[in-house]
Amino acid sequence: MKLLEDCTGSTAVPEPIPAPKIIPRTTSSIWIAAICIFAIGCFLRIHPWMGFKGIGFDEALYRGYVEALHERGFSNMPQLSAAFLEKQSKIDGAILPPTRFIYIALATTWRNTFFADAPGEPDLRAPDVARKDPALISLRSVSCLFTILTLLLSGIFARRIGGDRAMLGVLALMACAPTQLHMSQHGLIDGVFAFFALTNVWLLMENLRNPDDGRWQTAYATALAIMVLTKENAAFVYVALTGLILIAWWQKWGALTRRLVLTHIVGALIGGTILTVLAGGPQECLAIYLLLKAKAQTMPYAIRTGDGPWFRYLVDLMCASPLTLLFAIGAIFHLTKEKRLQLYLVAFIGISYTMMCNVKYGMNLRYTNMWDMPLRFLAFTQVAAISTRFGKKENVALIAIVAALAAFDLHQYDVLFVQFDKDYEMVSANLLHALKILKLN
Amino acid sequence: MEAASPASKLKLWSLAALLLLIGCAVRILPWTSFTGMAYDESWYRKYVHALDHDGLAAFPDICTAYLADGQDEKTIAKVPPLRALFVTTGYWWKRAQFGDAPPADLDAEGGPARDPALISLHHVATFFGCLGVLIAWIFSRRLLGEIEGLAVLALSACSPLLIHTSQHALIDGIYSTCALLALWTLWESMKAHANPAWFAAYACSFSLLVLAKENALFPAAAFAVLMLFGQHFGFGRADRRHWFAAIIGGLSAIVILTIAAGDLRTLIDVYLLFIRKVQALPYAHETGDGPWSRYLIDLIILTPATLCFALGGSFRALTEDRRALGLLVFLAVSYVAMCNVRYGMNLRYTTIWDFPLRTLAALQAIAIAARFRHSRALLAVLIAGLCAIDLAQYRHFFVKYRLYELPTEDLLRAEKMAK
Repeated sequence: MKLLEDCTGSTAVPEPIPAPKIIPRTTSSIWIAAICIFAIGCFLRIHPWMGFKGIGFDEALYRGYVEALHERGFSNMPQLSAAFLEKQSKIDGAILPPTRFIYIALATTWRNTFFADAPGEPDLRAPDVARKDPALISLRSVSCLFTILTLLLSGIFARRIGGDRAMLGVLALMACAPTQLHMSQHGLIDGVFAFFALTNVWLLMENLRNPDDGRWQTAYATALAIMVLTKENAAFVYVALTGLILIAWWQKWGALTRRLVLTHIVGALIGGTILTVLAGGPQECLAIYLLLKAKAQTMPYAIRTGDGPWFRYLVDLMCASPLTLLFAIGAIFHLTKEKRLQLYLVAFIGISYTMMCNVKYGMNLRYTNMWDMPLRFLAFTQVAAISTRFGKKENVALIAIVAALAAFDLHQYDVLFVQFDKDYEMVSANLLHALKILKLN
Repeated sequence: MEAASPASKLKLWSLAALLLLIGCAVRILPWTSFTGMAYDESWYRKYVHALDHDGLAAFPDICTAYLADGQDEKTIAKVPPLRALFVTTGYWWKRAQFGDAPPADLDAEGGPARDPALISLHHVATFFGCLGVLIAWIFSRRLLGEIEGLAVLALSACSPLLIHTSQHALIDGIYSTCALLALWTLWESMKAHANPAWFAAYACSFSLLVLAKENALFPAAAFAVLMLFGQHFGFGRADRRHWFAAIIGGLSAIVILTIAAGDLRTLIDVYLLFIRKVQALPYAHETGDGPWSRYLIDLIILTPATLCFALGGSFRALTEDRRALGLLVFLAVSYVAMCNVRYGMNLRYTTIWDFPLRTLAALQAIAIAARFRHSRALLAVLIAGLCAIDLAQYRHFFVKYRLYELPTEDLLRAEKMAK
């Protein structure tokens, strides 16, 4: 099969995604600007300014897993899975599974490292418990850490595909992204998952650019395995990555080699194998996901908040970051065959969107965290296109528009997640209540 | 996109006729499932009845009664009788079609569907809805070209919002048609060496717009910006004559409204009362609030695909294809004005943006299609796809879910995003 032929050194790949052969030297002023923006982004994530001070449903469950692993060690994972199966089969609603291993394990490690002997808070309804309970602090710290890593990765990714200007622009937009800030302020997995999803999107691109480079392939396989161990939504990203590989081969965006295909398969298999072991066996692993899927479909909360048409995510994104979305949509409609890097990102969003909007009762803006960077990169390209109309003042216009977008996004965070303090779930009704379009009765 | 060759002119005209027919059919054929009488409709009906009883001379008495009713703090906002164009044409239609026929018993089964005044108002709304499609085609054809005109015609024909306003005795379709007519005549008059008749047409259409609804203020603000800076936007050049036409048109409408109200004081009081009552209306507080992006959210729920294309077309107008930049400016200026009305946001008021949005969407579709070998076929597929989605949206919201008023909450419930 030609697709699987090793085409290294052949002429089968005429025009790969353009790799920056000679990256212009980044001046110190740009690095200083990047560090300043990154520092602001870190501050906005670390500083606790969220409105909802309580503990969310998911947070409480993660806390339970962290406490269990803290007390009995990581070898207790299969027992945790067995307990989940027993409990889940008895209740009507769906509870998140312990197979979201990476997040739980990292939070446990954090707890073991920084709060080894501290006991957990006995009453989770006590005031200010989220700031005292070691497991909750650990979960939130891990979430915060990974949104910071996402910010860093966004800058690196943007620089690789768009140069220094894109790095600064995307860094600024990501630093103030309301959905990213929200993920950093609570013990939610989606920021962590978004980091690994974005890492895979980036590493796949690097692999297409640098065929059969062992370092990139190892990194990609590792990132795939970790993503599988993070959240079951990895299925969407994996299919999207597979789609990207096929499109890249069809459109000759990059060098699709046998080793890359094997890496793509082996990485996921490694993740799946570890997951199976952690779950206590293949049957248990499968049972966990089937049970979760079945229960989630009948869960009243999911039915009430996760339903909607195919454009539900567009509506939610319009509520969260209207200006950024407008610019991103503008960029999507300006794509041409030559803009392969943007097409690559749009294909990723498009494929994952198509799958995610077809999950019955399974839509939530939280799941779109992995689109934050691609959308902001697209928005930046549109801003850059518009700013060229300002002639000599192009850079001034570019900086002004990006700053305005970032400031507006910060305002949106304040409206949606600081002023609105009733809940931390990013369901449509909450967003619209926060925006005062819907009124609380 | 290439201009049509003479040989294909017949095909173009046939297609335009077919699309016009479809556009009129979906407006005239009663396929909405909400067949009752809404609050606003009930008041328009009462005004028509009053005119039917005492003739046009009854207008001052209606205004006096409106003010008297408003004195009571317990009464809630009612549509003002000085939406003269709708009420008067509804009255004329009633006289022409039903003569002296008495009102129907509204409590009886199917009563609203048999009431002459209500039917007349509905027919007026439908007539203006159909007229709007025709004007959209003519304007876009003259502004952009044959193919573009057809694309805009198809999209306008299937616009869910305009179909909705044609299926009920709603004023918003009439208001949007008047705004579109004024925009078109303004553009024609701003062309170099424009025929003086276009100035008169602009004055008349602007006058009709003011007579239609007090919201005329928003398109008027947009017209002012276009007249001031039109040259920069490629919309044409305005001079004293345009301002004169606008002032004459606006003043003549105010004179007519003053005569209808009885005196200027009454005219002002009617509007002030309406604004005061609307600001205190609990329904407005519950459903008319929101941020500036509220209209974008509403539009993306109602007509998602077309809005996305229009957004693409907007950025295209800013950077590459400036032919529709004037329309974008019209949209932007009126948007800024309308999104700042406290407790006064409703998707119905956005009917005036339907033409600019659909034109921008059509230009975006054309730009996409032009990148491919079979551009005409692809354009047809794209436009047909957008039309199909819009018709499906109409069916979903207004047939399956019986929506009439369009607050965001109802739209969300119909889409099951809020339960």
